Amino acid sequence: MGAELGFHLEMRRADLVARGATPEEAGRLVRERFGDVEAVAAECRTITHRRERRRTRHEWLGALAQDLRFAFRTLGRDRIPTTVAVLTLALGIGASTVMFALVDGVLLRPLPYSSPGQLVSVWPERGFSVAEVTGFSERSRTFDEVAAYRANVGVSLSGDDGSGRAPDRVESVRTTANLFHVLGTGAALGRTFGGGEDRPGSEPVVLLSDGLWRDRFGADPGTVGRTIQVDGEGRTVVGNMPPDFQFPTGTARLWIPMMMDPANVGAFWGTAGFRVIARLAPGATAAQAREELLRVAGQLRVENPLWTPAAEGYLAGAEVVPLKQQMVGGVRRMLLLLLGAVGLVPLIACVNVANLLLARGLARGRELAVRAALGAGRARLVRQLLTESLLLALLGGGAGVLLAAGGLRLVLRLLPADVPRLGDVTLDARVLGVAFIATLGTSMVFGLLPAIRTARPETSDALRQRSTGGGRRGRLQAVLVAVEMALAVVLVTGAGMLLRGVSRLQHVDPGFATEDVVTARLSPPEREYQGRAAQLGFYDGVLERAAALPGVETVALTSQLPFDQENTTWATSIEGVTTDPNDLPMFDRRSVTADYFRVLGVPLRRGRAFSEADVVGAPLVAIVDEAAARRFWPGQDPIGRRVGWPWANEWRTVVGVAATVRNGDLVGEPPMAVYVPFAQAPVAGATLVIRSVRPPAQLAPEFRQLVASIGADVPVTQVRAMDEVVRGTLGRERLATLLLGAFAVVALVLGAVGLYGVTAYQVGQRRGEIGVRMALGARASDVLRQVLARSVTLALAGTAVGLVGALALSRVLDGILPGGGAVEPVVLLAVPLVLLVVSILATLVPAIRAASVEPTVALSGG
Amino acid sequence: MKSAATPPLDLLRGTLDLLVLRALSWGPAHGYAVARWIEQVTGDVLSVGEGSLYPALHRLEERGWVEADWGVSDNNRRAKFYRLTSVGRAQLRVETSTWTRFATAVYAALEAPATPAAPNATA
Repeated sequence: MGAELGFHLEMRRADLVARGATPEEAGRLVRERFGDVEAVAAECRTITHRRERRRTRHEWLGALAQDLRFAFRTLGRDRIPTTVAVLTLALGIGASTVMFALVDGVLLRPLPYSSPGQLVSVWPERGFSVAEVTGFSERSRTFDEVAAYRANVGVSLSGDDGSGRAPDRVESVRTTANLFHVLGTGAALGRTFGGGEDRPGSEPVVLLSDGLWRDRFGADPGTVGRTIQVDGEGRTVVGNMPPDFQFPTGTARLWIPMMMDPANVGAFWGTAGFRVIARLAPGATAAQAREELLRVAGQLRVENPLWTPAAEGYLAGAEVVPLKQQMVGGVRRMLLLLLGAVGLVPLIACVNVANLLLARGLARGRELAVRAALGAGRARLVRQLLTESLLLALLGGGAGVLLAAGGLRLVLRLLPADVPRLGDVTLDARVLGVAFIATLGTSMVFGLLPAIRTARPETSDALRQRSTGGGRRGRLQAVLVAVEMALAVVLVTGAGMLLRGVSRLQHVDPGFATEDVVTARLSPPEREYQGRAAQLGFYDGVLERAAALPGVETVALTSQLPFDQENTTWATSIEGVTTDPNDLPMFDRRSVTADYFRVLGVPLRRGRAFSEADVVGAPLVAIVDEAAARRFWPGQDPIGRRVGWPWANEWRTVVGVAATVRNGDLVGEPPMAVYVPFAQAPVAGATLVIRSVRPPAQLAPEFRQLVASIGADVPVTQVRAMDEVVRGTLGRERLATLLLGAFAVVALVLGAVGLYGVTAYQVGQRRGEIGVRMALGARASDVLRQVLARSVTLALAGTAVGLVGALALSRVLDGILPGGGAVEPVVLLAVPLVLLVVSILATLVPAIRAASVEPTVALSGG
Repeated sequence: MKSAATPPLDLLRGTLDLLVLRALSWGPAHGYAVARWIEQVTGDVLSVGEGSLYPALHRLEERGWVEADWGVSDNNRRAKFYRLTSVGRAQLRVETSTWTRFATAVYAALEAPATPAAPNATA
């Protein structure tokens, strides 16, 4: 800059001097004419800088465009490897996006309630009584507000509610009236509960879920204000909730205020099982809340007019945990495990693509060497190669997101509906952002190493020689393939362990026959079928006519179906054995009809089954199971002993001992069971068990018709095969197995593709060498064996490493499925075998090609 | 700066680019030669603030209308030579016609007879 202006000033002065000015005069005139030299120089500098910056950016963009054009050409030329790479990446990114969307929606996102951070859940396992809930609400200062609910309460909706639909049984939630205030959620239409609906004497009301409002009432806004029949009781609909509102899970269809009446001592103090959620007061911590809770509970323990629970053990396990933790705790491990597992799939994809690029890089050694020789710097070559990986990653990522959109819909359909917060799972900007970052990340991971390797300018070597494919680059590829195999082995072994665990559970004998048994839940509205006579009258009719249906052998009734989710246990006194009324053993208690044991094929070990004679007025009788008999009357005959429920003033004489069956789940010790005759202890809602040679789908319509002819407003639900009921309890575990298995297969396929790619490439590179050996007398079988041996060695090395990794995984699997992580010899044997077969299959084609190399190749120069 | 307030320069700002382009239309020249040409043909409108020629040259270079290279001047000294690009040549044609139309209009306005009621006549 200075030079240019200097030249000007000097020329001007020389001119002035030549025209006769004195040097001093000339200097002054020059400055006067020119103006501020510094300012002009500065302005010129600014312009120049701006121009340079713009040019640099322009050149960079130009180079990028060039790189991209070149990358498109290169990728387009190697169409098959490119397609494999893109599909590989699409699988990897798609799978991980689906899992991330799930984990994000269920675990990471804040709950969709107002200030969800202050919401806590309080729980001992047994839940709380209404009195305890009221006590906490009135006496504790660490809580702003305390609400309680009992989820999963089945209620009957009868036909005459204006919907025109058949009677139905749906899941409701009993809740304190302030629940919605605590959650901070309003109604979509109408209102939520105002706060007083749980007081005695208030008008019966109900709040509908969006789903129920749409399905049953056709989304009619006029539903609000209408009276509908819930369990035979008229309730006014005050409103319906927004579509995305779920509490506590998506299966809840309506909310009903619970009754909080201190005057009803039995219900107020005696009914446990209410879960408490509360909003912490500002500044209060969960630990403080727990302390205060225990103090208040201590007062309530003494005030209890019904009984005095033992001091130790009362609320011992009480915890105050963030609501989110409580809601998603059950599925947390499973989701995290699956996310971890899926995290391996993109890694494998990366390794695969890296190998592909390495192989291509070797093949392009000459091209790159020529470019280097023509003056391309190493950085420029690395950049070119990275652009190619980036392009690959973007193509793969785009395809992956499409894959994820479809996959997510499939997974959401497969997931059991009781997984919390499924409504919060979407493929939104947040998830897509993570997928995008993952895409960029993977392109760096799989692209950088090959790029640096390939761009190493061993120019003269590459130009002078043919690449022989051996040496360090070949080793690196081999290591990568072994790593890939190891990752696949971790997944395959994990899936294998889970599969064994689930199948072990599936083969656990529940102790009763599940084949050819159809079950159906009947829910006569309690208001209309109140009292023994009404209930027995209805069920006698159903039993009699169901037994006459074609294909039906035997029919029985039970108050609780084994493996049903609504099972509850009863504290039971054993005459002459139990002494402390506050520490009674817990029993599964069922009211069953005479043929129950015959329908389910439960053998009677001693005594007799129930008969038609065990009715009201006849002596009260009961049947216990073997486990109870062994525990309370070891070595003695239980027949004639008495069991009872003293607060109900009910003592029953044992008349039989039934075999122990699993009534609740397939894991662990089943609880003890006691059976009482249905006629002596009827209930409104019960389940029919039918031994029938016809499947449920055939039986259902006739059966529904039959029930409708006896009681038009009685919902018939859950017409299922008993098999299905038992298997259904494993839904979550089976899904985890299915997903992990799918990921394992994907990983294995990717591993095989990687192995194939590397072997094929190496055989191609070594044709000359193989030709020489053939010329020297090697047989085709020798070559074949050698190529196979190499890849099998790789696969087995990877397997060994992978098995060690799988052992670490086994502990995590134990958390999903009790015993699920058990390391079984059959799995440890099967996995290497599978890998052996896969590696041989993946290598066979290139190996055969190697074995058919003609010796003359050695002469022609391969 | 005393020079900044001088009327001829203000008038020139918009047209300096045009003059520079015109000066270069006969062939490559260094900055001083451009200044001399302007001095001669305009009766020295740049007599004060001649320096503003250089930012103008740089801006033209930035826009791609002229290109610059270092060369050797008549008296054998290193100097920066500017040359019109083809874009610059096209631009010169456009600006010449625009300027001519503008100057004609202004001249016509100045020659027109006075109108009786200008809007702000009272002020």
